Amino acid sequence: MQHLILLIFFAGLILTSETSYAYLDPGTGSIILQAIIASILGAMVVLKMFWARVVHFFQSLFHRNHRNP
Amino acid sequence: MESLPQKIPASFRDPAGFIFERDGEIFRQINRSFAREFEQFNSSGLYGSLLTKGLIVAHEEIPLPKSAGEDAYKIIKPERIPVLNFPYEWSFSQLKGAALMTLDIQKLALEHGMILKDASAFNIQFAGCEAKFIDTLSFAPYVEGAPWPAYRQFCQHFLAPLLLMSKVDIHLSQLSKLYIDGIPLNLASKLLPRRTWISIGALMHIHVHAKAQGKYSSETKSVRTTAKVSKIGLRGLIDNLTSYVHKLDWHPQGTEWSAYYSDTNYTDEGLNSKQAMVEKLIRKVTSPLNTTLDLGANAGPFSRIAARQSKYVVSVDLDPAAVEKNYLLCKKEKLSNVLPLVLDLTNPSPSLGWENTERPKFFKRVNADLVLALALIHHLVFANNVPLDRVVQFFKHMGAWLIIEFVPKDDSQVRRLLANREDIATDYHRQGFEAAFEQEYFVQESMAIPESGRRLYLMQRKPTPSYN
Repeated sequence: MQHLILLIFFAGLILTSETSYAYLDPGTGSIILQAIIASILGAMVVLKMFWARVVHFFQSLFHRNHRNP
Repeated sequence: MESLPQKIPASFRDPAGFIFERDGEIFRQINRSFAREFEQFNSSGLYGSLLTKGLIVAHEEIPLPKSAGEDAYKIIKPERIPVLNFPYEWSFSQLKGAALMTLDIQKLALEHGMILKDASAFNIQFAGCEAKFIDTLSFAPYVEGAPWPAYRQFCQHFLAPLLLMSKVDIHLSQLSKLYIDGIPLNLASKLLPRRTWISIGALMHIHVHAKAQGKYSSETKSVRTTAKVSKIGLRGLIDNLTSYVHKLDWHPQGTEWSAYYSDTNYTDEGLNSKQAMVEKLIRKVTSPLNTTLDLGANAGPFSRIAARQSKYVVSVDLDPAAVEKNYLLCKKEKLSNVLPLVLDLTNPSPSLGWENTERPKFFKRVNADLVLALALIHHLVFANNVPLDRVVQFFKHMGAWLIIEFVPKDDSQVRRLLANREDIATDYHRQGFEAAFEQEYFVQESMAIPESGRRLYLMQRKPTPSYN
C-alpha cells in the first residue's frame, strides 16, 4: 500500500516538474522508475501468492469436513 | 587459401564480440573478455531452452583458425537469416511479435540466472514469418537486486512505436527510420492522445517514464548500484509489460488497399486464370529460384504461388494493412519461406546508422533471381511520373528474370489515376511498353489475361558486361 502511495507521489512530482532537455540521457530516470514500478508489482505478486494460500487453506478445510460425515 | 575475414559494419558496439564475413559465410567471434558469460549461457541451460523453444538462432562452434586474434575466445557459425530486415519495414503484428519474443526471452533468461543486456528491436530478425533472436552475446549473469538495464530500450524500441501505430497512425512506424535507437519517450508522450494517460501501462511506461528521463537527465550520482529491484519485482515488471503488449491491437481498415481484391478489374475467372498463368510462367524460368522478389505484393496471393517454386520469397508492399494481412496469413499457414515487408518502391529503405553502413539499404540486402511486378507498372508511370525507360532500369538492377503485368490506359485503375492528372506518358501503350523492355530484356513469353485488357510477360535480362 505504501508503495502505491509512493508511486502516486512520484508520478505527481514528475508530472508537475520542469523537464530539462539535457542532450544525453544517462538512463537514471528509467532506473529509478523501474525500481518503483517493480516494488509495487513485486508486492502485488507476493499478495497474490499469499491470497492463493489463504484460499487454498479454506478449501482444504471444507474438503476435510466432507470426508467426515 | 581462405580469404581475409571482413568485419560486418553494423557489429562494433559490443565488446563481447563481433560478426564477420569470410568467403560468403557469416561468423561470430566471442572475445576472451566474455568467455565466462558465454560458458554460463551454455552451462545454465539457457541456450538449450531458447533453442528448444525456437526463440534463438542456432549456432555451431568451429575451431579457432590460426589467424584469429589474441582476444578471440571462440568462433561460432550462426544459422543464416535469408534476407535481413529491419523494424521500420515491419507491420504491426511483426513488431508486436518481436516485442513479446524479447520479453519471453528475458523471462526465460531470468529462470536460468541470466538477463538480457539490451532490448533492441534490431536483435530480432524475421526468417519467413518466424521471428528469431540473433544476438547470442546479449546475455549477462543476473545479479540479485540489480535493475534490468534494457527496460528503457524496450520502451523506446517496442512499446512507443507499437502505441503510436495503434493509437495514432499506423504509418508512425516510419519514425523508427529517423530515430534509429528507438523513439524518444518525450516525443512519443507528446504524440499520444490524451486517453492514453488513463491507461496505467501507457502512463507508467511512456508518460511518467518520459518525464523521469527528463528530470534526472543531469543527475551525476549513479543509481545503478543503489536502486534495488527484487527478482519478484523484476518478474512482475516483465509480466506487466507482456500483458500490456498482448492487449495492444491494430485493425487494418480504412487504408486504401484493404478492399483491393474485391474492387478491381478482375472477374473471378480473370483472377483464377491470372493465378494459373503466373504459376505457369514461373515454371518456365530456367535458372534456379533461390529468391523471388514480389513487388507491390498486396496481401501476397502471388507470393504464396511463387513460394511453391522458389526457395524464398520477399513480399513487399507500400500499404501496412496489406503487409499485416500477408503476415497473419503466412503465420496461419505456417509458411516459413515468405517474408512480408512494408516498402515504398519510390523511396525504399535507405542505408542508415553509423557511417550509413550500419543498416544497409533494402536493395543491398536482396539478391533476387526472379522479380514479380504484377499490377504495379501503372503506379510507377502514372502515380509517380516515372518514365518507362527509367522503370526498365529500375527492374533490371534487381534480378535476371521478370514477370510483369502490362496495364493499358483504358483499364479502370489507370483511368482513375489519370482522372485528375495530366497524361504525360505518351509512349505508354503496348508497343511502347514492349519496345522499352526489349532494350534490356528478351521477352520469353507473353499472354493476355482473359476478361481484362491486361497482359502478362515473362522476361529474361539481356547479358551485358556487368551482368551475365
